[in-house]
Amino acid sequence: MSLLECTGVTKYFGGLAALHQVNLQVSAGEIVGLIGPNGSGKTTLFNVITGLYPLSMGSIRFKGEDIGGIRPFQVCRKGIGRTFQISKPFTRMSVLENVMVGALYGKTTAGEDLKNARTSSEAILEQAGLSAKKNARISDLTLEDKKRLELSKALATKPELLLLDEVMAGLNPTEIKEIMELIRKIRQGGMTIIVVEHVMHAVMSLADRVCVLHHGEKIADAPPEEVSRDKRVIESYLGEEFLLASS
Amino acid sequence: MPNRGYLKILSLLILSGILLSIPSVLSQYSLHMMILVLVFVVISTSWNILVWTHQISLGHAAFFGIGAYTAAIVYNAWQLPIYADMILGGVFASLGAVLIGVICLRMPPWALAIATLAFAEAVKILVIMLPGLTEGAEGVAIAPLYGGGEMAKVYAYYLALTIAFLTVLTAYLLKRSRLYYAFTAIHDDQEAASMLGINPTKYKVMAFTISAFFVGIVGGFYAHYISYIDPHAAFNIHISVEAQIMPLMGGLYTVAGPVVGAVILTLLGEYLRITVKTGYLIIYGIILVLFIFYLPKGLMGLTERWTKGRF
Amino acid sequence: MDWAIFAQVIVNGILTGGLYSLIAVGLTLIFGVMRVINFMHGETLMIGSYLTYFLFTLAGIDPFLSLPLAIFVLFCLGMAIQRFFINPVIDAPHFNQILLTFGLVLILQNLALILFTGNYISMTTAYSAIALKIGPIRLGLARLMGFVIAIALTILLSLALKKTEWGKSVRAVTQDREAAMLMGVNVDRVNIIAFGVGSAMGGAAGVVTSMIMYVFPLIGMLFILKAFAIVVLGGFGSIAGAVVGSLILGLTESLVTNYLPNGSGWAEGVSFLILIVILIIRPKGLFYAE
Repeated sequence: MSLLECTGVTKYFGGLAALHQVNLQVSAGEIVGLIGPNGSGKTTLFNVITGLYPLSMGSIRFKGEDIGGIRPFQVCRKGIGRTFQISKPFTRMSVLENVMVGALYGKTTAGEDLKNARTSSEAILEQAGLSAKKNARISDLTLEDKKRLELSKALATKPELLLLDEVMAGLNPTEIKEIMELIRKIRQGGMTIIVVEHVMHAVMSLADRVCVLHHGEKIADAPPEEVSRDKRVIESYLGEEFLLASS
Repeated sequence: MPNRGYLKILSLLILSGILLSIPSVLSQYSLHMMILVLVFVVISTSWNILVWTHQISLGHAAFFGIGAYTAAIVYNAWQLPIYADMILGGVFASLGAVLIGVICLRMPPWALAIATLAFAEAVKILVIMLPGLTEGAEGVAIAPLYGGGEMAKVYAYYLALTIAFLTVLTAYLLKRSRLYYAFTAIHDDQEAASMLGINPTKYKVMAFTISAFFVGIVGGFYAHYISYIDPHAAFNIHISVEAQIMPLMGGLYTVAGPVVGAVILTLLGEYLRITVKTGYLIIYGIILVLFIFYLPKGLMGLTERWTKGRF
Repeated sequence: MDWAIFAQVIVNGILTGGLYSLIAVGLTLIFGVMRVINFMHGETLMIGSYLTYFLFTLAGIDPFLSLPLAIFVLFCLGMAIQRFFINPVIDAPHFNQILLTFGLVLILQNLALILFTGNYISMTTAYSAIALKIGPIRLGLARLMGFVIAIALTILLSLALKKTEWGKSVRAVTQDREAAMLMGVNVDRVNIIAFGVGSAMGGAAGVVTSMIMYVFPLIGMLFILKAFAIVVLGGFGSIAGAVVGSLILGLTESLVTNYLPNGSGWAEGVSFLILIVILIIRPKGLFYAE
């Protein structure tokens, strides 16, 4: 049974279909890449899965349960975590406190108490490489730090499925390598991940499978090497500047 | 650090000592002033709690008035002990808060601000237009608190002190609790907060309810204390205005801030009211503008280095 | 059903609506351009009415002639306030903006209180008592002239928005601030002038109110919530919406006053009801241009 099953997912904004009959299955333990030109609906799909946008048509099943139409905080409780394209840290809290929010509320209302939440959050920051900055203010963080923080917050909610939305955008090659390592480590821990990215070589290298969206429709769903050779995929990207070849 | 801890406890003990022994040294008038200060400590601390979730109420007088009228009506009808009708005042104020809180859930902050202002005015109009229940614009008279004798003010003072203590204690415990994380997360980024499992509705309405509850109670207290309320006093926009200026002046995201602001501004306001008489509120406006420009963190912001935001 | 009374009620409502529109149009312009909730807009009305009053009682200048002066004075004052008080907080959290404009309200109201005392004053001009009669309908001349002024100024503003450079910039900024900046619009200048124009409209409203009702320091409070209700109803930034909303409010209040028992008391609540209802079901208003 798939962990996540999107069937016929359609989302209308006014008369425009941002997503049209998208089918996507993700099995436990996979890393699935989700790529496509700007405006193809990748973030919209994430928003629909996580309940930020209501579904127009179709169904979304997570661990066999229909989660279409439930609210974002409920989606989180079911076990789906998500990072945002433009990171959204809580500016009035320190790095550690940011992660603690996820630890405190990610699973149930009772959640953990403050002490346990602090300990588990510190462990997560350790894994993400942010231990040294755990008491820092958000304004003191670099872009890469913020991405790591975004990841840590999502991880603190103990998800089974992680949705990463362009987590490498704006990073330099060294930083990208580091984040890729982090993602691999997280997967090794048993996480299932969907990665939306424009940094092609990263996606092709990380993913077991790559889905391609174009104008809200899925036009490819295959291992990376096949996708990089797929004619329709190449065409859809014509005019966009990026690297298809893995490096 | 052990020394810091002892210092804190010592200063709190001294403060408590002073507060508890005040009635024996102050005149009736000064005692009255202290009671006013305590009333505003409750209002400003409560209003501040709402700000922690990024909800700005410009009509907090609504809850004060609801509390006052509930207590007055209930007391005159059934002669319940004042503790009971004050708490009922708080309960009804909370119900009003749930109502307006739910209505305003999806509104951006500016819309919420206007809606709360409208809510306060609307409740005032309702009170005026339903004289069968509320005596309308004429106001309601209540038997004086504690018989109105000489000791009445002293007892009133201790009652007000208790309410103020409970309110500040609630704010203090809240700020150190799990809940504060939810509040602050919602305040900073509601979408991100909900993605981490926080139900915005639950906590925003909760904050509104807590914020209104104590204001309702102290409204009920005030009705008894003055032994008379009317719509213009109970729903006075000055109450709403002061509810905002005091925390701003003292420090919005602190517990001591609203208290400091309440003390300074109540005393200052009274002083000005006596000396300048008309238009003294202009000082409030000037303070508001100056603080927004130069001291947005309020007075507690100046002491941040020492208190490290723990108050 | 007494049709004569009904017609009078409708006419009253329309005339009132016309007055409201003067205030609301200024407010919606400011919000559309700057996205700032201008609580002190009511005070521009107050200043306009006091100005008119003093010009009339001290210098015998007829309100109609004061109109251009009031417009000019409030225009300059509005620009000054925008430049020195509003602009610094335009990107600050809403909280700061709200409290700042509130603070300005307190300052202006109490300044008036100190300078002019809280007395309710009124002017009696040559035409204060004159009323036109059209059939059974009575039209107070002052009110009618106020209505005409309102229409004239609103049309003038609409023309300015359509034809002038500034007007086009305003519409661009109202629709999409970022895009307008990228296209080279000087947003700061647009903001300042918009605040000036909006305040000038408020001042004109003050001229009109001085002709038909009392002048007192807190008169701004009376109108500001109604103005908000109208702007929320009509859609922030929409002049047409402000006009339509004003008429709706004016008519509703008139109907409530006349046909509901104790109507005049309840009429005050109409604006709040509209406000809350619209904020719930369609916060962006009826005419919001997406």
